[in-house]
Amino acid sequence: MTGIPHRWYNVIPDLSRPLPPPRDPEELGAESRIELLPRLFPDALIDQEQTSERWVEIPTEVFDAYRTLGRPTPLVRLKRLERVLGTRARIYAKREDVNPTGSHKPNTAVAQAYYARQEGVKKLVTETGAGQWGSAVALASAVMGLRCTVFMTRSSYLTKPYRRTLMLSFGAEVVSSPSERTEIGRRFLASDPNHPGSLGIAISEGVETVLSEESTKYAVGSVMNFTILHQTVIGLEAMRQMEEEGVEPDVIIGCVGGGSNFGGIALPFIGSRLRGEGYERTRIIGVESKGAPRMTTGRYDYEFVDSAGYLPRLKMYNLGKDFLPPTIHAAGLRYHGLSPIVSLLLREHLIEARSYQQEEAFAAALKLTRVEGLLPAPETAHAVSAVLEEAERYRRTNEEGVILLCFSGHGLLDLQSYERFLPSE
Amino acid sequence: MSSGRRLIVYVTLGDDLVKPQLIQRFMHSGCDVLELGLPTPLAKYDGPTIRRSIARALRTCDGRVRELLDMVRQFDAEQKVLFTYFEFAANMGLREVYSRAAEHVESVLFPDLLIDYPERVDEYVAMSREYGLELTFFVPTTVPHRLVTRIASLDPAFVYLGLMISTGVHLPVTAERNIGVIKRLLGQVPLVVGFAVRTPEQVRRYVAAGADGVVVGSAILKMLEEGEAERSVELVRSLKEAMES
Repeated sequence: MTGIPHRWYNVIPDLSRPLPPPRDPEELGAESRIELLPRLFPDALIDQEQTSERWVEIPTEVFDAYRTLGRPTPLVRLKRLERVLGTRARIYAKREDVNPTGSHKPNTAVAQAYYARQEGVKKLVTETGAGQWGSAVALASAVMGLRCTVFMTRSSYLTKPYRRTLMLSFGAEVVSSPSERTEIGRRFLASDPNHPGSLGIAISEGVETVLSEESTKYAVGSVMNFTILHQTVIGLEAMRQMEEEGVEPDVIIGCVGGGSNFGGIALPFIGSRLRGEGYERTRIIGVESKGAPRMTTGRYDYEFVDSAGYLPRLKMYNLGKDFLPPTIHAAGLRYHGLSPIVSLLLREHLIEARSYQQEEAFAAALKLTRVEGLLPAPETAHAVSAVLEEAERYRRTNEEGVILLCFSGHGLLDLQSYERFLPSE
Repeated sequence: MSSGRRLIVYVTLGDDLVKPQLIQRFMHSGCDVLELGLPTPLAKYDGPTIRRSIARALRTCDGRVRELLDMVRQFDAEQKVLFTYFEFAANMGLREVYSRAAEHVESVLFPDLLIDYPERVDEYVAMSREYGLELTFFVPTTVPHRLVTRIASLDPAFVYLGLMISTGVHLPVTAERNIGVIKRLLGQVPLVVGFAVRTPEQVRRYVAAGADGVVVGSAILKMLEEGEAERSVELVRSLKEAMES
C-alpha cells in the first residue's frame, strides 16, 4: 500500500540557477512590500519560502488531515480512453479530484490553516477564481477551527452559485469582488459597476482586508513557493505509485494557472532528473488557456502578484498586472502571472508550454468523460487536450509510451459551463 | 583577505552621513572589512534603510555615479570590498569599474551576478584575476546546492549569504538552518552572512551555526540617520565582541 509522504519536496536547491528573489517596487522611495509579508502570512510559511533545505517535514496534524481528505489519491489507468484513441500509449491519471472539495487545492490549504492556527491566527482571508481554492480554504478553516472570508471574482460569483454554497456550508463568508469593502474594490467598481473581477483584484482586496484586521492572515492558493512545496505530495505519491506499476512516465501533463497542481506533480520528477537520478527523457508539459497565455506569449520579468501592487514583485512569465483576461470558464487559468519556480523551469527549457482554446478543452474533456465516467474541471480539461494530442502522436508513430496526467479537479460544480459545450444531438 | 572571523561593515559611497573619520572609528572598534556600496538607482535587494542611503548618495553625486568610484580611496581601511550590482557595472563597462577601483579594494562583490547573470561568472572571474583581486560571491537562501559547490571550487575569499529577502528587513526565517546547509556545502570556504543583522545575540547564534563572518549595514545607517554616530561605533564594537566570544 502506497502511503502518504512524510516530507514535502523543495526543488529550489536542485535547480540549475538561483530562483530570483522577490523585489520591492523599483522606485527608491516606494513603501516596502517585503516588510509587509509577516503581517500577511504565518511565520512558518515565510520560513518555508526561504528555506535552503531540500526536504520539509510534514507536521503530524497535517499528515492526519491528508489521510482524512483521502490521501494518497488514486493513480488510475485510463484504458478505455486509450482504446478509443487507438493509441499504444498508456495513460495514467493522478486523481486529485477525489479531494472533498474536488481539487488538489486542500493539499496546501490545510497546511496553511494549520500553521496559521499554531501561531494564534483566528481568521483566514483569501481570493478565489473558479471557487476551487476558496472551497479548499473554507474547508481547511473549518477543519482547523478558523473563520474564513473569501473574495470571489464577480464573474465566478455569478456563474458558480454552488461553489459559493459549498463555501457557505463550510461556514465561510463569500464576497463578490470587486467589492465595496476595500479601497481597491471601490476603485474598480467606480470604473465599471459590472466589473467581472480578476484574481489580481481579488488578491488585492484580500490583502487590504488582512492588513486592516487583527489576528487575520492571508491564504494563498498558488504562485508562492510554499504552496507548490505543499503540493509536491501529488508528485511524490505519483512517483511511488508508478514505480509500483512498473512504469516510468514519458510525458507528464498538468494545467497551469498559478502553477501549483502542475508544480506539485512535476517537481519531484524534475528534481530527480536534476540530481541525475532518472527521468532524463521525461517530457513535462504545462497547459494554459489561450485566454491568458502567459507561458506562450508573456514576458519573463518582475511584476506585481496583485493588481494593486500591495505584494512584492516576483520574476515570472506574465501579461502585466493590469491584464484583464476574458471571462473564460476555466477561471482558475485566468491569472496574469505564474509561479517563479515554474517560470524558471520554462525559461531553462525543463518544461514545455502549450495553450488551448476552451472549445477544444471541453471537447477533449467530453471525449474522456464518455468512456471513463470522469468529468474534469474546465481547468483540467485543458490538460486533457494535451493528453489527447500526445496520445495521437503515439498513435501516428505506433510507439509505446506512458502519459501521466494530473487530474487536478472534477467539474461537478461547473455543469453550467458544460451545458454550453454539449453537442446538440 | 585575512581569514578567520570577520566583521564587515557596509556603507554607501557618497552618502553624506558616512564620514571618513567615522569609518576610522569603525576600523578601530573591530570592523575587519569595509564594504563600500556603489549606489545604483536599481536597488534590487535593498530594503528601505539602504534605499534611503542610496537616494542620499545619488543626490550628492547628482547622478554621476562613476565619480563616486574615486571616493573608494578616501576611506582608510586595510581591507575593502566594492559592492555594486552587476547589471549596473556591466552597463557602465566592467573594465571601467575595475580600472577605477581595483587598486583600492581587495575584491568586487556583485550581489546579482549568480542570480541574474550566472552565465557571466567566468567573465567576473577573469576580470578579477586580471586585476589581481580576490573572488567573492553573494548567494540568496534559494541558491542551488550545486552552484554553491561550484563557486566554492573557485576558492573565493568568502561567500556572502543573504539571510533575508532584502537588506535590513527582518523576516521570520530560520537563519541558523540555512547557514548550516550552506556552510556544509562550502566546506573550508569562509561564509559571511548578512541582511537584518543588528544584535550581538544574532551574531552569536549565526557564528554557532557555522558563519565565519557577519555583515552589518542597515542597522548602522539607521543610527546615523537618527544622529546616533556614537551608538553606531558601540554597535560595531559589541558585534565584534559577540563574534569572538
